[in-house]
Amino acid sequence: MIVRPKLQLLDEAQIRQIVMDAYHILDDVGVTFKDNQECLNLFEEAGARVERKTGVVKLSADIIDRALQTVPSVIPFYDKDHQNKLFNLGGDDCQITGDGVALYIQDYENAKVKRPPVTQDQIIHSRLHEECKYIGFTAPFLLTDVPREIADNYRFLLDYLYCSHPTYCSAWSKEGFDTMDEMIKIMGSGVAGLAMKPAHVHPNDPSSPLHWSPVVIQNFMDCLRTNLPAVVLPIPLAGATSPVSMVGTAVQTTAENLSGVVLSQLVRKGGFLIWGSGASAFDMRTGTAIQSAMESIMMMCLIAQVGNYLRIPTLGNLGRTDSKLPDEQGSFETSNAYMLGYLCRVNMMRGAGILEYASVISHEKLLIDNEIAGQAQRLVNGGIEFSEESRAVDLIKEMYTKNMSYLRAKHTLLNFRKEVLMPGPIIDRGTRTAFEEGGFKSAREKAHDLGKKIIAEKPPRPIDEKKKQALIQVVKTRAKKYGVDRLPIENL
Amino acid sequence: MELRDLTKAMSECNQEETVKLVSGYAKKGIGVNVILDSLTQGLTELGEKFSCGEAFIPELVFAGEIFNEARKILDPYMAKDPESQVKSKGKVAIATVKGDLHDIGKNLVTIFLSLGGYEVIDLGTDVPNEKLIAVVQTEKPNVIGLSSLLTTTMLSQRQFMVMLKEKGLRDKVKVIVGGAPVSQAWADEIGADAYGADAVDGKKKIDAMLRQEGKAI
Repeated sequence: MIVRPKLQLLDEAQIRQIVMDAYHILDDVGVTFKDNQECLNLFEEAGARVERKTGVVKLSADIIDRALQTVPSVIPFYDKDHQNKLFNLGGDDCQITGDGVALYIQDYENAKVKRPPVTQDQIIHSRLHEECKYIGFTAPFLLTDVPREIADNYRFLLDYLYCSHPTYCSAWSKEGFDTMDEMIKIMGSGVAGLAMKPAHVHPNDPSSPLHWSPVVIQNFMDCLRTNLPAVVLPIPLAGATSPVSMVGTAVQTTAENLSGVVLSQLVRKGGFLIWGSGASAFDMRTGTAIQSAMESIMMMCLIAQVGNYLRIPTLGNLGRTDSKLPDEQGSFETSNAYMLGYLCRVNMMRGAGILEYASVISHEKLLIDNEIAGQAQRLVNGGIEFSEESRAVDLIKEMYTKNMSYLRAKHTLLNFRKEVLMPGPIIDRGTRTAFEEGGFKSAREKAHDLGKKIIAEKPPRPIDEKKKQALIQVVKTRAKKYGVDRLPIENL
Repeated sequence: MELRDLTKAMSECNQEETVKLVSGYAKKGIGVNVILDSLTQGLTELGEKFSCGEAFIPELVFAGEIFNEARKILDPYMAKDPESQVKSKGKVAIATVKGDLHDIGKNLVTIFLSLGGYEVIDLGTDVPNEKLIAVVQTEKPNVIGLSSLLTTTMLSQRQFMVMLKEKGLRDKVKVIVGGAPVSQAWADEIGADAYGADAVDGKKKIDAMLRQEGKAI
């Protein structure tokens, strides 16, 4: 039996109270779904009270209850080719996710420079992701060497070409979404039941407090129609766009998520949905949204525990650091978030490889975060084996009686790999001698070297050439509308 | 000539396969030295895996036990073949000093030395200096290693160095010291030949000392 440590921030009665408060808000003042008549029709047909002029939708408890009955509690995830199942998302299982929200990348050769990312940066980042065994999802970022209008599809293309892990990636328009859908079909060519083998996640951000914008509503509904797992991701700033109190922010975010749950199940009964939160503390001195504050971490864990209570897979923006470098602050902030996130069962933790209020990508940080993630996974996914064999009473007696070292016991040989996670090469538990022979390097320096080594020595993942060309063609067709005849990837 | 399948089985710590292959080759009349060389090559490959973090201490320990089991199978054949012998880089006696029962560090050094081709005399823990002196006189090791984990017991290392001089044995054996409270400065202070910061470092220092003496390490 594996015992998996768990932390409950509030007790069940308190969580139930948060849900009831959210029900009350949805019934009393409702949520605004702006400028999308189709979604208002769906709500109205389901019995919701809809004010057409304002887009306000008021939901009674029975409508919410019905939706909660059909939303799946677990989502299976496959590699990007929709071939091999990798893991289930939900329940006690947690995954770390990259983060592509940044507008800049830290220059690899000069850490003092942050600059807009281009094609080569994404290729390197995706190739590094491929080697990060503790990071489940990639998240490609905004590239500036193509027109903004097609950058959503272009990053999706590059990430597919260089990493097999499932992707967390959004489209920024209806056209972008439809192109992404076409690309997913090419990626999963020949696979039966493609829709039931998800390899991508699409975030949809309601605008706190209690509003959904037209593009987000459209993308969200399209996700459900195409069976693309949809994240509802409100990003309230406590004290600015939600109550300053943690529980108040949890109540509001629960209402926003529940409104997404209802819409999702109206579009497709049984459609995949992830209960998300990017709640953050708001720095009243500087006006910054603090990603790594303990209060931000606690709020996201708390909101995820509401999702866990409702048996819906959960996501939090956890692991981000506000440090400007992949330094000590960056590592302990990420570690705080991962440890708490795992203990609270936040199923997806999005924030690997990102600095400075989620605005700067860092290759080194990604590699460091991968090793921090390994430690957190050991704590919860590995857990503690409690069995007759692990209690080892007979072994203790035998070793004592024979005056033998446990190093010579078969029990050690058979179990040490699962009992002890051996991290590295960034986490250093080696000897002083090896450290000095290795050049006296810090974790950050080792991460830098590791990145270079991976790019120099590990070939890119094998890819079907026909599929690659078909995908490039799809993106190129869209690019031509914006004056681009040749994609940067074709010049490499 | 290398028996590649045997080398592979040994390097993968595959006990059943190693034993089966050793028995089979010996019965077929393959030379004992060829079999031993293949086993040693397997240990070397395992050591390389250890160096790059792919193999771990329990596997090294287990490999040592498999090697010993294979040796027992070969004993009767070695008796018939006077040219066959286990090649040794040198003889090392090792002990945890008087009053100290800690042996993990010493055991690790023993493992690394054994797998590295040394003949190791493991004297155990809580070993009085008188016994160590007697071993130097009777076994004539190239090197003696003294481990101490406690600040209270490390003084035994100094006393051993004094006794070694008094008995006229200082030039007969190289001395290496190690253990948590021990340092290069301590080794210099008591007149030891080397300080091993850890098991891997200890083996390297012993290699270096014997190389200086003209041994083919």
